[in-house]
Amino acid sequence: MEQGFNNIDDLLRNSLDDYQVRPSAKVWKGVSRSLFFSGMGKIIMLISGVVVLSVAAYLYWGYSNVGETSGSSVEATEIGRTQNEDMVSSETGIEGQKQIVGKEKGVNHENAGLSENDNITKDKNLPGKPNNELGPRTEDVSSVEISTTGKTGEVNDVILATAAPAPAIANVTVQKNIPQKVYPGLPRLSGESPMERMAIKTLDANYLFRQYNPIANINERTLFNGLQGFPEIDYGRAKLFSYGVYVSPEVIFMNDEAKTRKLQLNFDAVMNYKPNEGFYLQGGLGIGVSQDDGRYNVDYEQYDSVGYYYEVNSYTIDPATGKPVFKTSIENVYDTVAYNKLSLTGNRYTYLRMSGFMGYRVHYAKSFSVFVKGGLTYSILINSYEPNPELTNGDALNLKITKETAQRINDTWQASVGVGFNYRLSNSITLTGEPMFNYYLRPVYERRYNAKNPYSLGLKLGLLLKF
Amino acid sequence: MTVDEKIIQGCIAGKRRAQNQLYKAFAPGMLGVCMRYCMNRAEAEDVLQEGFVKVFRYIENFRSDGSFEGWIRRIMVNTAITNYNKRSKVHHEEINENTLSSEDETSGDKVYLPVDREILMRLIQQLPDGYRMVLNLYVFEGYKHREISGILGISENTSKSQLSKARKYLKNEMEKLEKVKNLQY
Repeated sequence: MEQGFNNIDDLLRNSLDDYQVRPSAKVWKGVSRSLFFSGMGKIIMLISGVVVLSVAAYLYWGYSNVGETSGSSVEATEIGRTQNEDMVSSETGIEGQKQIVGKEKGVNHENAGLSENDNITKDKNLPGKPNNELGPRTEDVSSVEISTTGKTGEVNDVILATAAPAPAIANVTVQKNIPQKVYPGLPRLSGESPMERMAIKTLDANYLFRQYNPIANINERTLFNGLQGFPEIDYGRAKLFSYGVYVSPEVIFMNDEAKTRKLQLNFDAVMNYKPNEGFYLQGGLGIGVSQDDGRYNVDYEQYDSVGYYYEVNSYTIDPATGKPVFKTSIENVYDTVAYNKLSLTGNRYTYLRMSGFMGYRVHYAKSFSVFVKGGLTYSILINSYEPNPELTNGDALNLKITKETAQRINDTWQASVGVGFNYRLSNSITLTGEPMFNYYLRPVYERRYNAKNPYSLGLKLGLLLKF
Repeated sequence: MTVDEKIIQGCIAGKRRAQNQLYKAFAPGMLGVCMRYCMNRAEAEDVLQEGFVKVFRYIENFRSDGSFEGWIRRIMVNTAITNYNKRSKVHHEEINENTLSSEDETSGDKVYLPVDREILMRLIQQLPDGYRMVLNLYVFEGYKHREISGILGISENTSKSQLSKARKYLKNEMEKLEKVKNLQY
């Protein structure tokens, strides 16, 4: 015979105190993941971030300084010395003249106006340039002249001719040490306008200034910023990295039975690494703000009228008919009535987004290019705004509010694919529009709501900047 | 259940294998605890996961003078209570004091026969949240109504009322089951 229990508490304790159920594998995975992100994983991620930033910084600065600092301080000293010694000999040596002329011939292709008869002289009459001192170097350089017609030309003309191939200016004894890629953008400078001539002059001065002062880093782009008509100086590094800001409205299809759709607005800052013309990598950090409905089922009771009845106050007998005539009044009947209503609120959730994409250019025509891109975005819920339902009924009794909104999970992954349409407004600014399809690798709601993985369509609009 | 000291030390050192061994040893029992506090298994697994993360995070705080299983169990119960408070932070339930039952539900002539554990668990999970929390804390954890009122932020009378109603509900449901059982035979 089965043993019974005298009270229900004993029954519960006896039956369920040692109740065991084997959890699903997902639980341990979740525990492991949480421990990783909260323990050593944080340190690993921090170190990884520092390494990535360091590599990026090295690539950025390392590449950008190749042409600018390849001339060492030793070479710079030699330049100063040759102004006093070697340059003098080169002026008088026939071989030296040939070398210079040969070099200037190359220049002539880029800068019309120079002939094979060109030679270089040194103007010792320009003021403020003692030959036996190193500085100011910029003035020393600008004093070098080229005579295009066999006689000494104007200073401006001279500067134009020598400045165009910057190595030639530093010239004669050190030109072999100066990389040919010092001013890759210079061929575009024709020197036709005064603005360009001034630019070239300053470029040369700046270049040699840095030769003498390797730690000095004057950016020509900064120098000429705001000068209209001055053509872009392209140092190559701008093609390697670019930076962008995106705003992307997104419609999320929750993939539930009710076919619910939610709106999300993302703001992202990205950095693009473009090792070659076709392929690029993109890393980004941003904020996503998502809207959702807060659903609350409100049960309450209220003392309310449920009907009425006729209260007989008195009666008389009608003498004519002999029937009673009742005098009545209407009395309302009140009782506690149960009510239920659905209350909706506007919830808002803010996510921190970290994204990684790769893309490939599939079409290019003039300023317009088309890319295909794909990648992953990791989102962490950083803020939830869930206002309580407003209840204005002061007569409500036994109020019971049940939250029916599904609980959002703290983090999720999205896999995204899309097409990018870029339109280059200038060498430094590109307008981009990217229709994207995003698939959530995890539901945005907790598992207990049997949520399915949603997907979304979004349009990323942004500006890419090359510095 | 006893646990090897090496496993605990491994967990303190953050070794994943030790953590996994500890998890395997205690997870089934703790899921049973969590299921009593939650409305379904999925929610219970969420609580279990969160609870074990806390266990591993704070395991160095465990003092070996007490039962390790009891320590884990307390963490699970606290996590379940936190989950309940978070989920029902706008769940206001005002109990009409007139509904307070004066009868002692724990005593009487009725003899309760053992019920299938899965069914009993299901019945507990079907209880309204508040009833379920009070029932668990009172019956299984041994808290007094005054303590429960402090833990859940309700009045002592509400705690008593909810316990009474929970028992009544379970009693009715078990009687129904018994009737069905009798009909089958």
